[in-house]
Amino acid sequence: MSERPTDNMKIATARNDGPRNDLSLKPATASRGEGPMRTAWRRFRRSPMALLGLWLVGIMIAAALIGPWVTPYAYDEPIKHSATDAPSWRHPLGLDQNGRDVMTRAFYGARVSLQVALAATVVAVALGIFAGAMAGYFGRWTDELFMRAADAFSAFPGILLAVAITAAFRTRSLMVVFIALGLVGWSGLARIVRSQVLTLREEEFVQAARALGVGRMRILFRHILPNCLAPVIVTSTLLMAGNILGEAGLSFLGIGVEPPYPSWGVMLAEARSWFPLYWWMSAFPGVAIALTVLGFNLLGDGLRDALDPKG
Amino acid sequence: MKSFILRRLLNLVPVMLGISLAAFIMMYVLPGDPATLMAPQSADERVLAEVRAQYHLDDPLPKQYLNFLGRAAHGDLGISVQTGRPVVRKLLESFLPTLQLAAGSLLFALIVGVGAGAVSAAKPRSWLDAACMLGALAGVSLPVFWLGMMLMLLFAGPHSWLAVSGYEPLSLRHFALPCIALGSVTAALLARLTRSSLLEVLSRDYIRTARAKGVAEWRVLLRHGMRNAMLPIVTMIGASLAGLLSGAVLTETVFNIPGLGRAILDAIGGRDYPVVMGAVLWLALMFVALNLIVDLLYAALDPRIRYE
Repeated sequence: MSERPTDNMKIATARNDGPRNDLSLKPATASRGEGPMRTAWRRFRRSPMALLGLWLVGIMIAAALIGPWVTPYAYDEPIKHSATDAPSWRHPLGLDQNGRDVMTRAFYGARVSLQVALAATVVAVALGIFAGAMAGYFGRWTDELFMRAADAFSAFPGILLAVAITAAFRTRSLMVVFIALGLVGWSGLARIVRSQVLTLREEEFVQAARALGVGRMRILFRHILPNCLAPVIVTSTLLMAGNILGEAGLSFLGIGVEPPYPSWGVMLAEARSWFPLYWWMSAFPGVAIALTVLGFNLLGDGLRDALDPKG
Repeated sequence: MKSFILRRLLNLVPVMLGISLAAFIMMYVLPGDPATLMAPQSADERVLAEVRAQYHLDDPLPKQYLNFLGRAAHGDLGISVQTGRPVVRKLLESFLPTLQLAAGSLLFALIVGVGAGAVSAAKPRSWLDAACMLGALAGVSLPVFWLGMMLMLLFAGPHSWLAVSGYEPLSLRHFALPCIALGSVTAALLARLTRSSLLEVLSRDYIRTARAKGVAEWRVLLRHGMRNAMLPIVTMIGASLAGLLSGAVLTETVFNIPGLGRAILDAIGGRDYPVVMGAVLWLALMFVALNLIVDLLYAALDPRIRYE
């Protein structure tokens, strides 16, 4: 990442060192007007791993959006009655125990898995930003309250906590699944946002705003929170990876997404009752999960490197 | 040092109280009468009243909570609704398989993870480094239970010596595959951490000095490098041991191991609230105790760290 200085750094030196540094003014003017997003994208593109992550995620999203339209089969209609088939040209990923096309179900599964993971991430990010901002900005007992809550939530292994929350709802629906996963994921983000807010609160531009008489809420929402965006983006990408695994785990235990609606976890759970027969039923949904999670992990790592101003 | 331990132990009190309160609230305040959940489906009003009396469900909630705390302090976590046996015994029984699973997984993770990380750091940017880091990336991305299933498919044919399910105390035959499956995530995380930590240490001046005065390369790596790179690794071992001990539900499910995770899952499924609450307290205690041990290990590893 850091072999050659970025244009950003050249701008900085050009400004700081004054007229002595005439030579480096040229690249500075050349890249003037480049927004932070463009800079990040330029740095992101340099990393092949990050690009691979973007491709993997892109392919999975495309499969979720387009797959169900392309496939000639339905996810819940048996093609052959209660019979499995090994992968073949007609059914590249085989047929499952009810004679349903595994590839079709994997397409619909991509929809469900990505949707649940996305909704869970939104819940976690909303809660995390709220708690972290409150704790960092108001301090004192607000800080204690939210951070001790974060401690309690992170004291338990995610999957058990999600199981407990699911049980507490006493009904099963997609909403319960993503709320449970969201409640599991918020605490880490809250800590990150809190530490960001704590540093930013003392920055000069915030003190200037305060001196100008800007209200507390406006300072928080207009001056502090927008500057937390980079770590929040990185963390939510990594949360997506965790939530896809979480959904798969919950569904595998039989308390996540409800069959016959397919998610990748549901497909693995169904494969387990026939295990070790019909390897294709368990192999392919797992590969789909692994590639998607890998994609989000690579994307998150790449974003962290690209968005880090010090990188 | 002593006052540090004392202060940390005192800190445990509010944390444990908070967690027990949360568990209690989850059990009683959410909609639904606990008595109807605990009693069999067909129970009539008379049976329900009996259940309420037996579990003191008619007492005011604060009193119930205090009673629960008082009994918990004496090591009595109540009676399991499903089996009618003491919760503590149930927890201890199921903890044993989990302990072995966690220990085996950690051992696997340490050997593979720290080994791969050290190899990577010793030869950065080599094909070996790339292979190790690719493996580490795969390790954090694979669902544990799926890895377990694939291991079964690959290694556990009818002629294989390895067992695919069930539990026998201290049996390598039964624990090899589950430990590899469960340990892989920790191994992957440890590999990445060891690599970055060791690379950081190896760039220091005293390493250059050691090399310059002709210390053998393996000695530089192990004695000068690894020793100083251990601190973050120990932190992660502590954190992951807590996770391994309690978060092995999926592995235990795949391999049919009657462990703590399974017990909690079954208790939640069967609305066996005394067991759930007991397990929650047990897990919390284990977690904070492990954190304390990790902090104390710091001081042992790095003499510069002193606790006031």
